[in-house]
Amino acid sequence: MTKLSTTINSKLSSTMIEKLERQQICTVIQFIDEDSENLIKFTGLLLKDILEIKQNIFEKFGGVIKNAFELLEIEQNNIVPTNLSSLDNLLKGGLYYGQIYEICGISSSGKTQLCFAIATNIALSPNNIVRYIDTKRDFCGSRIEQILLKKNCSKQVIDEVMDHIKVCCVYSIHQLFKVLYWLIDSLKKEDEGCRTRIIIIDSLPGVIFKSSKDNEITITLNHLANVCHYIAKEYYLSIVTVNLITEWSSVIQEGPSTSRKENCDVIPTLGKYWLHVPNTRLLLEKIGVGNRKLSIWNSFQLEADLACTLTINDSGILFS
Amino acid sequence: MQSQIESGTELLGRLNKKSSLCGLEDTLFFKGPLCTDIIEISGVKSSGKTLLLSQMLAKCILPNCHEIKGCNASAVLINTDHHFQISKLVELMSNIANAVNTVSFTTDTVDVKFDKIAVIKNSLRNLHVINCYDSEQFAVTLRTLNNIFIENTKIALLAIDSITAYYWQDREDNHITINAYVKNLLQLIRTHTAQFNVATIYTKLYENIDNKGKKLTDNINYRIRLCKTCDSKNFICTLETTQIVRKIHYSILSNGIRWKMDEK
Repeated sequence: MTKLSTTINSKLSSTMIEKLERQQICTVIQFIDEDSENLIKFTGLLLKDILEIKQNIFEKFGGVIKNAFELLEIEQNNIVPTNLSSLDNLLKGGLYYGQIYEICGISSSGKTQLCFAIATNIALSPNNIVRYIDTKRDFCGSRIEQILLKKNCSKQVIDEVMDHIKVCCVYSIHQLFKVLYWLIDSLKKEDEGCRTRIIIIDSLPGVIFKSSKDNEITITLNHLANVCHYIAKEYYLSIVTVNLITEWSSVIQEGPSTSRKENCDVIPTLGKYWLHVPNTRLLLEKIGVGNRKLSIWNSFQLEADLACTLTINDSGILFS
Repeated sequence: MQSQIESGTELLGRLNKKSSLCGLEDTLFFKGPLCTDIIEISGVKSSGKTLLLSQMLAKCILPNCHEIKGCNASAVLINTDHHFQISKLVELMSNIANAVNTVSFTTDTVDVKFDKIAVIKNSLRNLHVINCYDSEQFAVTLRTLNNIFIENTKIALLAIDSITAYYWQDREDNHITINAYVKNLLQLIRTHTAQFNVATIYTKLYENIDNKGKKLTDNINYRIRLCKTCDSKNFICTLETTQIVRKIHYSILSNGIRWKMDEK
């Protein structure tokens, strides 16, 4: 909670803040909640000034009201196609700003490869920057180059794309937060022409499972969700996270074999809290040799269970 | 509170005529909701909480013309979970508008289509969205509601998706149960909405089983509980008011929630 400070309003001096603290009014919320008459008594300011300070707090620390009419326009102008046509069809045109997408799958189901394909394609469009946060030291520049060579891109194009994918390695949740906060600063400085369209975090379990206590993880994930939503909404970009899945096989004894399907429960890792954080969760599954099925697992916006198939080879990801 | 200013806002709140929210969701509310009702939508993940809320918002902001039976009221949405999406709302609004068209057999479809988009875009101006990203911002925003209601006198509905978004952040320094947490917030919200005749709808993620036996408290007028059944396509909605408890089956389709009234 933010403490009262002189930066809120020049009329609020440090001696007044000390006086207020003696009355147990330390934070901005406590200040708004306190009766104005009392605040006049404690500070010696005029009612007009007290109301002005309260108004300053509202403006500085409260949410900003936006009209839905304008928000619709912003949304329509900020859809970033992945140019993987089947994926774009699933997602109704591409990645929407303000959304957190999660790619789930068992290890070696192709999650990172899908991230590479998305990153490459988005960086191929002019003026798009891709931020790639790598927690597993998995990022492979030569793989990106290979994908681009197969697309018959020229040396110059390849250099440009490589330049537009900014990779950053993190090894702990602490570093992840540090990078995200640093990103907020650098996103502020970006100009309209060439800006970040997508942040890929590959992968979250890489840094989250290292801390242990259940409650601590929930609080950390709550914090992470808030930061991600803030970045995605305020800087008009989308975030793609990668997550693993856990299979719980619980043998249900009662009844005949009708409920065989329920016997194996597949859930994303990172626990119960994170379940409802990503707006759209995609599931990547192996089917046969080299083939993968990508489906919408659950989503607040898109119809669940829509799916497409894809193959992974040296030219990247191909949708069939 | 501030004596001189309060009397003014009270007067303003009393004198301002608001659009009625009748018809917001006919299946759930027989008449109403009334002007200061509090409605809780709770349920597990992907049971359609945000969808139901969006559907009610769509009905709320649409006009009552061209046989679209909207409420023609303004609403403010405090977006804390960031699951709500404007394009989804627009989709739901066009569904409502389209449903009208199929009944009244209009002749000039091109003209109607053009008109419909204009109607929807115009109604979007009735919705104000406040994005919140942390607990303090949410707390301050709730305290600015008075100012918001004064500036936009047409607002008849306050929607919060979800009220428990920052529970874990707040719990870090203050151990409190989720029910007590919600109760405190509702008390604060009520001090603002009561004066201005604004109804409140909020969503809540967790559903404690031990809530079931309890009667409606904390001045909640409608408690809507959304549950999944074993069959992934069917859901059950339990509607609880001070007088009745009703169970309604529903399914989630691409164009929104479909109530199945005939089934028991």
